Amino acid sequence: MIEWLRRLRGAFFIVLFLAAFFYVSSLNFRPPERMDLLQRFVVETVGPLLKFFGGLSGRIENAVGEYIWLRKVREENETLQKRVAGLERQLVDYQEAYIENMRLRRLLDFRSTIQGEAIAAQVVVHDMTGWFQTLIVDKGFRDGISPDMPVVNDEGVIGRILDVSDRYARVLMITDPGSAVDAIVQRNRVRGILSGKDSGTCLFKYVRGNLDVQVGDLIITSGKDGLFPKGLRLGVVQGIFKDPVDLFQKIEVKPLVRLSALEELLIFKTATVVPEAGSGN
Amino acid sequence: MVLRVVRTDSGWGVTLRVVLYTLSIFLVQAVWVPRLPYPAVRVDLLLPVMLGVAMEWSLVGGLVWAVLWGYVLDMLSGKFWGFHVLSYVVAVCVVHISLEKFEFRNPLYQMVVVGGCALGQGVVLWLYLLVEPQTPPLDPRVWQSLVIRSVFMGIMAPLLIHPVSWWGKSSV
Repeated sequence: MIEWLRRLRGAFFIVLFLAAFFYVSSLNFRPPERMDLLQRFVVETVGPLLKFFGGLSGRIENAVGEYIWLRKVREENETLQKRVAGLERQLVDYQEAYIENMRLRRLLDFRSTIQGEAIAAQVVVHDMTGWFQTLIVDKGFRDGISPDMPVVNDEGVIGRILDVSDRYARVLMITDPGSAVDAIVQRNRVRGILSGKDSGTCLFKYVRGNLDVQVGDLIITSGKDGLFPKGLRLGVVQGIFKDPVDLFQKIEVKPLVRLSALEELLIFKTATVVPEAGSGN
Repeated sequence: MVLRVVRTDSGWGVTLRVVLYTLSIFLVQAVWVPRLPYPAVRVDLLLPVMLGVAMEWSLVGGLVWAVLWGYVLDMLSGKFWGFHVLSYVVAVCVVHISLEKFEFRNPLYQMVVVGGCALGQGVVLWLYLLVEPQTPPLDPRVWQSLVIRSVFMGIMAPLLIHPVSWWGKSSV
């Protein structure tokens, strides 16, 4: 009996496989309905496994993806930071160039309004001690600069050349106490001497107490000192102090030029300058 | 001094490792392969595994394995029932018929056989798509994809068969 079964084993397997194959093939022709027992078994067994593995795979993918993303973001961040730094530097350079361009344009416009020769110069350094109101410019004897030449820019008078070296010159600003400019009030031509008080203020001296000077009056050069051309703007009256026992009134003037922020200026080579009549306005 | 470690595995241990390997390949096949962007690279990873099993196991064992996993894949496909069963059974039979004439341990043979079986799969699939009324007109490039897929499967075959051969042996 056992021998007989062993002989039939091959045939049994063939029949079994054929049956399985026919069963599987028959599923192609079965109308859609509820799955049979075997199908349900496979789906119910494999489904949770696939779900679990799919979830696990998703988490791994997310972790790997985030890691890669973070690395990319980090690299991108570093690159962008470098680029931003470069662009910021570039932007600062552009802004500087733009501002310089504006200043030079104003200076050029101003230069075109004056007669006579003027030399453009750049401020090299302000007085580093802080005691004096002077600055060094990059034009000197070789450029035809000599002492007492007026120094101005489009905003007004800066000062005069104090001394000169070959390629540099020192400028005494109008805010220095040693500076003195013959000046008048533009409104009513009241005359006085403008000298420096401190880094941001001048004094309009020797104006008698009974003369009419008001806060806001524009002070301009009179042209009578032999140094500064007539009509250049000096400053605006910002304070008047009258003492009944004093012969002169004390008038404080705020220079129109922002002396602490000077970068470019013009040096008049000759004093034969005749600005337009309305340039003081 | 050389230490020699010999491990003798029982038949169940070998079977268990092959089961786990097949299961892991099946999970990869079910979860990752369908997400590949190009049809040409959506390979059938279980076909080489079936060949590897057929090389190591008896004909009946290989056929049972082929029918079982083929049915599971057909079940998940839900269409063209018997496609995977038939292709795996044919692959197992091809290996057993030609096992005495060819050295299937040679990766080149493995690549050729798997590539041929994959191409056969492609032809059957193409025929099915031709007669299937719901299928839209076939793009001529579908052949291109099927051939590339066969080549891919052929290239991957030794990599997938080798673990089966390695775990199928009973000593390390």
